[in-house]
Amino acid sequence: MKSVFLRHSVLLAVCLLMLSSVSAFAQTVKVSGTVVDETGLSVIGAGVIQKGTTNGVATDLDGKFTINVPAGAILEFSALNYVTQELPAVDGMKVVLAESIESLNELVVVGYGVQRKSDLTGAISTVKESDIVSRSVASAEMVLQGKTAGVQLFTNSARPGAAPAVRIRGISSNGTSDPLYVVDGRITNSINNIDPNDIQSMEVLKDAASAAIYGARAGNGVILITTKNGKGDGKISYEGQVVMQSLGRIPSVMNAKEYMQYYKEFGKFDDAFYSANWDGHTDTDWVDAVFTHSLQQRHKVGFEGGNDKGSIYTSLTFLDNNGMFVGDSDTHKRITGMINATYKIKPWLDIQLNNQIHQSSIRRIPEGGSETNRESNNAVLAALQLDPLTAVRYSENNLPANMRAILADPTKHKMLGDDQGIYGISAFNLNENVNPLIHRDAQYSSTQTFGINGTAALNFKPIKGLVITSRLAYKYGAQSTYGYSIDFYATDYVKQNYVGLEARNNVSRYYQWENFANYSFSVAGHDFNLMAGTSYSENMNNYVQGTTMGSDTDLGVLSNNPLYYFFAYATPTVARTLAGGETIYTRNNSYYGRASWNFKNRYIAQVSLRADAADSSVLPIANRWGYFPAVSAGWTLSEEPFMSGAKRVIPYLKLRASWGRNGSTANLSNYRYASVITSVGNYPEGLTGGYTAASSPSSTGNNALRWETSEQIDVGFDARFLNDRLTFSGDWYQKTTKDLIVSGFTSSTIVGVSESPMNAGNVTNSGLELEAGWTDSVGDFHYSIRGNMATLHNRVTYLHPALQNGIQGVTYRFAAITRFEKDFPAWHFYGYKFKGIDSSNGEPVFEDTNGDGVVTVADKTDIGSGIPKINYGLTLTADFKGFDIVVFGSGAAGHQIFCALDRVDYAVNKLNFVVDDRWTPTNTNGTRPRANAGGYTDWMQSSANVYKGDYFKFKQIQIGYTLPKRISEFVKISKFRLYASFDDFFIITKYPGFDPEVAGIGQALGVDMGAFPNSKKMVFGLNITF
Amino acid sequence: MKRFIGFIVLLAALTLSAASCSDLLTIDQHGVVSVDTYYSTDAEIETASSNLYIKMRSLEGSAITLKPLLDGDFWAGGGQHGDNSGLDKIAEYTFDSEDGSIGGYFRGLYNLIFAANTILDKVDPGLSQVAKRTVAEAQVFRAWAYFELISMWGTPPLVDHCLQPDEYKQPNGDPAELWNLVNTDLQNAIASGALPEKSGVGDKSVWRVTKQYAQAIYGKALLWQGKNAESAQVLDQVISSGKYQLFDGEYGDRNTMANKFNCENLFESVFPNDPANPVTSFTGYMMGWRTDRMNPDGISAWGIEMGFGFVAPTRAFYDAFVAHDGDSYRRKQTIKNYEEMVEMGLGLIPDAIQMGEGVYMWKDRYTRDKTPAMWCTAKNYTWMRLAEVYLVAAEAHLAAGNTAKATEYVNQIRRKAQIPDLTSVSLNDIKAEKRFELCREGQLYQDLQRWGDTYEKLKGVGMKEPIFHENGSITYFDCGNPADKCGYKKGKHELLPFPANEVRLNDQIVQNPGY
Repeated sequence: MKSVFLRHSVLLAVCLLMLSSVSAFAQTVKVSGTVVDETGLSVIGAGVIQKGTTNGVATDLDGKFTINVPAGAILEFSALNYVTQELPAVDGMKVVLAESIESLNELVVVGYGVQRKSDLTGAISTVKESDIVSRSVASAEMVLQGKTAGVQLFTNSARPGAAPAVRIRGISSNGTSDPLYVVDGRITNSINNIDPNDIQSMEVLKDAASAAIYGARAGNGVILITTKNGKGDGKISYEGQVVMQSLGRIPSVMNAKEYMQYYKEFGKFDDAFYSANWDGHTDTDWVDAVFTHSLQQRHKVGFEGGNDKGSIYTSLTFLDNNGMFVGDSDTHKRITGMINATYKIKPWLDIQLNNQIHQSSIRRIPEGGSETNRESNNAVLAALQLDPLTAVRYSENNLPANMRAILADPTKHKMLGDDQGIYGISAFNLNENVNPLIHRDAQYSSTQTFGINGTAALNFKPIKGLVITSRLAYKYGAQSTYGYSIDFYATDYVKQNYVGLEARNNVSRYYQWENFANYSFSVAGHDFNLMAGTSYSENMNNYVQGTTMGSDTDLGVLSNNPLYYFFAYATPTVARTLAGGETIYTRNNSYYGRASWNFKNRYIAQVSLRADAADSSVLPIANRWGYFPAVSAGWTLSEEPFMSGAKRVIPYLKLRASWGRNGSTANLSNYRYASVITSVGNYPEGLTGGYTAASSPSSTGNNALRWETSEQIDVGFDARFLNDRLTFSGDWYQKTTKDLIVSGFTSSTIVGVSESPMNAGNVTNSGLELEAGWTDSVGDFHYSIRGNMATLHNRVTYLHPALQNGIQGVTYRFAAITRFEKDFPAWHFYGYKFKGIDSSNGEPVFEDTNGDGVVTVADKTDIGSGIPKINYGLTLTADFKGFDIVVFGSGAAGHQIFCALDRVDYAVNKLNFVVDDRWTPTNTNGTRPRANAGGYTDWMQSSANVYKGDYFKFKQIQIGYTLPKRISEFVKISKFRLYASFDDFFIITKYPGFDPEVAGIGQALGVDMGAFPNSKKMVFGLNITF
Repeated sequence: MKRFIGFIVLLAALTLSAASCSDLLTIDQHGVVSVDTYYSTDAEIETASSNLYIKMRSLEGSAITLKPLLDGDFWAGGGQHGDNSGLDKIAEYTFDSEDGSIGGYFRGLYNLIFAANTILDKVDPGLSQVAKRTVAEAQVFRAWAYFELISMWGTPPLVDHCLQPDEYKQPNGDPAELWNLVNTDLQNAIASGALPEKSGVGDKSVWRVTKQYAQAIYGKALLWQGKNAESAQVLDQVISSGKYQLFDGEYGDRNTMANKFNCENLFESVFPNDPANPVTSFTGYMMGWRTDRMNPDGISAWGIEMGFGFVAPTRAFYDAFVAHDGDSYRRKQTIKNYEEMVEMGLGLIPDAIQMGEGVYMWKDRYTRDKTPAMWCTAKNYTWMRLAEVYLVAAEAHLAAGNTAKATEYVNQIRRKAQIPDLTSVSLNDIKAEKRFELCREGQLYQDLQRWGDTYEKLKGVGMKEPIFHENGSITYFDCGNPADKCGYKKGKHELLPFPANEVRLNDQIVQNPGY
């Protein structure tokens, strides 16, 4: 981070300062001491000044100082990037300076270069190593949550190995709005397989001007990841972590008594049926039965070192997460290795290598058929919907009547079970979701991923100020998925009479070659940096996928034994499918340039332009080129002479503004613009019995199709107060994304054929972002508080008139409950407005929104949005004599969650929330519909089931203890830290479901259809450095 | 100096990486043929030709349900009012611009125009005989589609090439320009010499549009344009070609499976009787008798396929038929009264009711031999037959002053109908002849509009619907339409509405008056 050069310049500056101000005093004592940083390294060139005077010295290369002061004087210790401290002068004193939260000279990675933080003109947030270490998260995306303003995470499953969707400054598209990730210069669409502990820093380029250097793919923001480099004179480290996980929140559903009462009122079951099918005592808590305590462990060994010639960083991390669903069917195992090296081969040439290898294995339980329909084959939803009258298991000689009947029926194959018994099959609730253990065991699926990726860069420095970089980035990946489903019987809907097999193998290879030059020079006090470069990338992908599927008369495999569950042992007659086998390329060619100007650190301006060419699978050849300009400026007021008087109060104040244009081609792949010939059947040749094939253009074709374009303005400020202890920055932005790719509509009947996708929608996101920090020390007690907060206003501002009802999103019980619609937030909730319960009959009453006197589907209206209007995060850190504590929490507010966990066609169990105060003949003032209300399905799809999504979650409460050096060094250990942490342990929310953090992405944004929730975690960890 | 060698090498590399990537950026799509490179061989061009026939065939349903309901001789039909509210609205003249069947026909015609425009844009007629023929076929289909559009919507947008996204909003077409396109297309197609012709009246092998079909619709189009003499001249060529004659079998069997491609038909859409390649068509089921309410033994004995009884003839039409023809051969072969039905064992089951007035179409009865698979038909749809050519030609000749020729042509039809010759015909004679000869064939509505006869015929429709009872009685009940909201309205119903969605999306188009 802080280079040697910087430290030296600080030293120089301080010496000059001292020379001009040193004066001598009489009646003094001589005080000597050392100034070190929190890691024990000497702080060179720190200012030591007698408070209230101009008497001062600077520390030497060993951090030592000697000063003559009056007895009892107070000394002020200050150094750039450290928090100033005041201490009584005592001879032999050792002063520990705490680093300020953000140092202005810190180098921030920007696209194709680095800039001093003080020179930034855009909105760039940084997540540093200190925010990453000792976290229990497995995926790098999760590190971003709560640590930066303007970044939102959306999750539709928190199963082991799942990664959240990251949204920077809102939802910009009806399609994909994933940000672009750049890892050590390598452009990628996923960082899920990077171990967070290998990350040095993550920079989020939020404003368009910062991101514009990545042009056609930067429209959803850019996240730059820098992995670690070797430091110090040889370190061996071990980081170990054991995490105990369990379900954080258990939604309250009906118990046996409540369930029976409800369905009696419903008219579904009577006492006779209950007594014939219920043993009289079973009262299963399914959620409790299927979620259990489980373990995640992570071990990392690292070796690193570095000097002025070069550095090396290597690490090997092993992660093993057995998810909290009972059994071993939800697991994530991962080994990641990293080898990063730099070396100065010549004074004018250095080489930099970053390499990462990973292998992972993921198994998951069924969580629903598809991303947008998660209602069936969903083991998590089953845990909420299954009746409490059925036991998890039965012994074979004690089966309930319905299971005895199945056992006696030879056509019904086998019921599943384990050595503790046969899995219970409900006699009451025969929906597509059955005993979660049956869902778990009826199928097997495992995904193995292997990847090696990295960058190799050469930096030439032929003349002063010029650095020419040639960088090759690469990624080779292989993924193999294997799965089978077995023959079993649960209900007539959930059964299979054969063994099905599925396998898929995928290889991909990506490389990217970039050449760019940075040239810095000064003319008459004006500092310039010019950068220009080219980029070429190619991605190759090839997969082969096969399935076999038996039938009622064909088991599908030669023997019903998992050892035969492979294609090689499929029956000769089995139905097979085959897909893939083609090599698909995508390529990209770009030019880019940037010019920066800095005058006296007061005035900063920057312009950039990128030109991108996409290949013909993305855009028509004629308009493959896109041009993405940006301009930004900064004004550091605090450097102005007229502000010098205020410098003590406001040491730093900068105003920034930027404008830029970015693109997104994420929704354009696979020749969406093209008109191709498709078969439309055949036409009989009269009476001959012969046919002529017929074909037609598939669509109009749209040679004008272009990428989605975002334009964004950003104004912001950075400020520091009170000796840098308080830092503050804020931004306001407005981001307008136009030309959304919209398909599936008819724009005009006279066209005569279905239309190709068109650029036909606009979205606007705007918001305020604030980040603030306070760092201070009181003696040996150091503490800091950092917070961030962002507002978001999201609106679809235009959609093609053919879509006057919007684009229909996810369905719940056969009605679309989300819409992408003009004048509303993206994928807002759509349904009836619930007014109350008719006290005469218990039926729900809905608002007649169009005032035509009757309630029809035309009265469905906007009933909420899953996009939080406010996201915020708060981090407290403190340390005192070896003890350290971190409290970190994040929250969201102003949004809703559509709780889609119910149905009426089966006797599903329900949240107590929806049945407790239901209308009954004796509770006519009930606020929930009576059992078996005619309008119940409408009620389910209405605002009544849209809940406030507001929450605050303590993501981390960690206490650590570092052994004093004098003890650890005794056993040749330079650092020994133990910690314990509660992660995701406490949550404040009114949402009655599992987890307000896990509620759908994309079209299902904010819709909870029963997804794998986040666990609460108890973490124990150990870091040792030799 | 050494360092600069590296520098120069790098600069060279930098330039290299920037150069000549454009070839690599052109990646061909797998598994498809681009529209830009297709249509270069005969086999490829044939697939475009077949597309025309498929698109045309898919319009059969609209032609035969929508248009008869608009001509006033038919009730919506079905079990009772509301059975198909869309058809009710057509028959009652309460339809609006959101109407699905009107919008569907409009869209279907433009789909056909797109299929034709694709050929006319992409196929070089000089390439081969197949290319030349396909281009001529495209001109015929496009001209026919515009004839339908002009005659029903007045000023449909003129789309004479495949539209690009920036051209989607087209204004109303100018009738003169539209007719010009129809004329030019047909003249070119006829003059090309590429359209096939039958070898003689017995030739059943020609299933494509023929030169004579092109001439027939050209002659029809000319009559619509008031170019009577030219119309008569073109149609005479069809009649005198010697390749067609009025159907020589039993009058009521012209439309049966056995008589596909008979000597009278100029152009048929082919529905094969091939269970391996069945073609979906709901039309027969829709317009077939309401079989669930009819004597099942009779249904079975006559081999009648299941039907729902829509587009049921009115008693007024039957009565007019009888008044015109007498209780003649043609009437009995065309439409049956209830007594005749009962006699044949096709009466209603006890206490059954159905919408209608107890008269049943016979000439296009829907029999089981026409269904290769469920919801499919093997009954060809005839778009034009010689009887219509005679009658259009007769009107053209009459208007052009050649009454003798007109009379001769009308008498050809009357002889086939087994009714006495006329000595001289008037326009009214021709109108009547058309009404009965071509009933429920989907050709009359546009004639009525052209003659200006629709107002008188349809001004009061939509107030009442008949229920026919098994005992032969008919009761009428109120449809619930206020008088000012149903029936033909002057200044409005001369034209059909442009589909609401088109108007919503296309701010260049002006909706027809009254909608």
